[in-house]
Amino acid sequence: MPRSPVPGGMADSPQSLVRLAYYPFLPEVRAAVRDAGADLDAVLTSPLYESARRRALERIEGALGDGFPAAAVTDERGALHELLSVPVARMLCVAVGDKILIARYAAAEARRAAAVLEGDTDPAIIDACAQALGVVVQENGSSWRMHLSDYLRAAPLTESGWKLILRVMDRGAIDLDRADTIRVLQEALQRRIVEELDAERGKPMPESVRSGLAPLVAKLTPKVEEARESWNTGEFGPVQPGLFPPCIKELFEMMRRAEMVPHHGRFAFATFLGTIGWNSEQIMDYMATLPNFDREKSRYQIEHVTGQRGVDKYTPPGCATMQTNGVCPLDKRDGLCFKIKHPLSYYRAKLRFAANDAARVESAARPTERTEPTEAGSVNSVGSVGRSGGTA
Amino acid sequence: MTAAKPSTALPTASAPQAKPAAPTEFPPPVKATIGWLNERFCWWYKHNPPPLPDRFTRREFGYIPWPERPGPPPFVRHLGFDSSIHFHESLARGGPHSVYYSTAYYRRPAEMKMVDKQWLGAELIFDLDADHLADVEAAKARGEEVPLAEQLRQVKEKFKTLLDEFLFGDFGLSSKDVWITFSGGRGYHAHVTEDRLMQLGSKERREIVDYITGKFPAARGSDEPSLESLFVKVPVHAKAFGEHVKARYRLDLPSPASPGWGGRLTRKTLEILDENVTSRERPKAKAWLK
Repeated sequence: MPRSPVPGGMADSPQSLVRLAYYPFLPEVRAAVRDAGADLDAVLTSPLYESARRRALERIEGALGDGFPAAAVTDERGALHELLSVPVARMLCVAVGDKILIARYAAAEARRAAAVLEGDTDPAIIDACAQALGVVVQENGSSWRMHLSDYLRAAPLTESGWKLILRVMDRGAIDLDRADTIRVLQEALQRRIVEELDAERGKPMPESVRSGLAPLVAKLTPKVEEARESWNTGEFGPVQPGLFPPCIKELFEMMRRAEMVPHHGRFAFATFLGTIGWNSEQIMDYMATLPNFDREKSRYQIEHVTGQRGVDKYTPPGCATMQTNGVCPLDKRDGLCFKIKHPLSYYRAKLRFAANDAARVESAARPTERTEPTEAGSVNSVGSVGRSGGTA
Repeated sequence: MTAAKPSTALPTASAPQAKPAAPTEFPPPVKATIGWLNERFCWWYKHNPPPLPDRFTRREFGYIPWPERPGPPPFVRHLGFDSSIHFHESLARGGPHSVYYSTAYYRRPAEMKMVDKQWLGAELIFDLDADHLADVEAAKARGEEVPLAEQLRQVKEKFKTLLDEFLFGDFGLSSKDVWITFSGGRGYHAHVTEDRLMQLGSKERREIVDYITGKFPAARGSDEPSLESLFVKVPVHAKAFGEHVKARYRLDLPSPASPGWGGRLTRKTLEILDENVTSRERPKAKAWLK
């Protein structure tokens, strides 16, 4: 995480615009920006606000990659432009309307805020941010105390070290150190931005705003397109059963043997295949071998979980859930299983390995590029892996 | 819905000896018996109005009436009641043989579609069954019969641990947040009705289950749960290599008075030691320690 310049010493009053520029989500920001007298049309079109618009693009372009650093704000004008760049960036996300862009932007914005918070020595800033973000924490000496239910809602539970059982819990209270408290605030900010922008995405945008944003959107679109290539947007390509994780393979085998597959197993199977690109008919063709399978009864359920009934599709359960539900074949796990937490990550990693192998095989097949005998030896083994993966 | 699944075996009273076409009507004696039962149930409900669950106006109710003809009985769902009088009147009038209520709370419990009901929260329910206790299952696997009284004694002990150690202990709930019931068969239910906990989603609830069942995550690259997080790390030796400092640590058991799993680990360790070492004669203690 980039170390960020800390808001110009504590000589600033907490409400100063320069200081607020680092925390655009604080409630005081709205009034401060309004007092500065900037109107939206001007911000989108006037040459006076060129730098705010440039910074807005920087925010989003950073979000497409590794994030963006906090700007070093030294004066009120700089602060105003930094603060104005946030709503412009948000409107751009909404105008482009891509869910993944919104998620990435929110994550980058939250990471930036967390980096600033880490370097901020103002003792009151954590409480101020927590309050602004609706996170209920209570300062308790050098740590912050959270109630169990607030912790469960706010903490990044799937990350290592954040499971509830790893926390010391005393009568419902959990104490977090400063770094962990900031991490919780980062989560809360990220979630809030996603929620707000997702809600905006569905609403019509005023024509004046749309046309004002148009040149910026035009600049941004090719970059988003380019970045999208590298995101795994659920575009998994043709389904390759040979690369499935052991749990899904096991379910496949059970169905092939026409064994009884319990509910949780069916759910995992249908959602996994639904996510990587099968439609409900294809899934049902497979499940039709089940002893008590009723196609018509199951159609509704499968169409429901694969998102063909107007609801968002269900994601397959992660490894922890699979284990709790007894769907993970514990003794059949391989080395990759221990490195991932989700069956989809397993499949994704295998796809990536297969693609790398294919690329290596291809380049090795051109004798002009690779001539060393040692290479040829490794190519053979790689080739066989690629084949078994691709055609199974 | 709580309670057991609706029984589909009910109409077997009329199961015919021969296989031909299923009858569409009950034979008159069966019909009369069912009618009598229905009447008795009406009478019972009229004179023994059952207590209502917490926040009942936010819950969906359902019931299974007495069957009028053979076949699976209908399940009447999506009922909502705004007063206990209406609820009790409805029971006394219908005299259904099974009544259910949702453990979830809705803004509009009587809507037909789940989305329209608007979920507000759901009780956090712990359901302990004697026949599912590890010891009882193991005994059964060995072919031994465990008397029901013994099963109930064991499940009661486990249930007390759940309440004292976890719900009232680590989670800090008070007795008014937890509604305790005997399930009617072989176990106990604890319904947690504390506002903040009721709003938790399923992922968060799973964390609570993992906490109570002691599911410590495994260390990286291992399959064994790691208890390392519970120990107190005390540096005992440090050596500097240029800019780097290499330290060795000792892992200490936390104080038995520590909150959460740390204190529990120490208390249990001390208990085992006391039982097998300190309160035994020397030779026996020595033998155990080996």
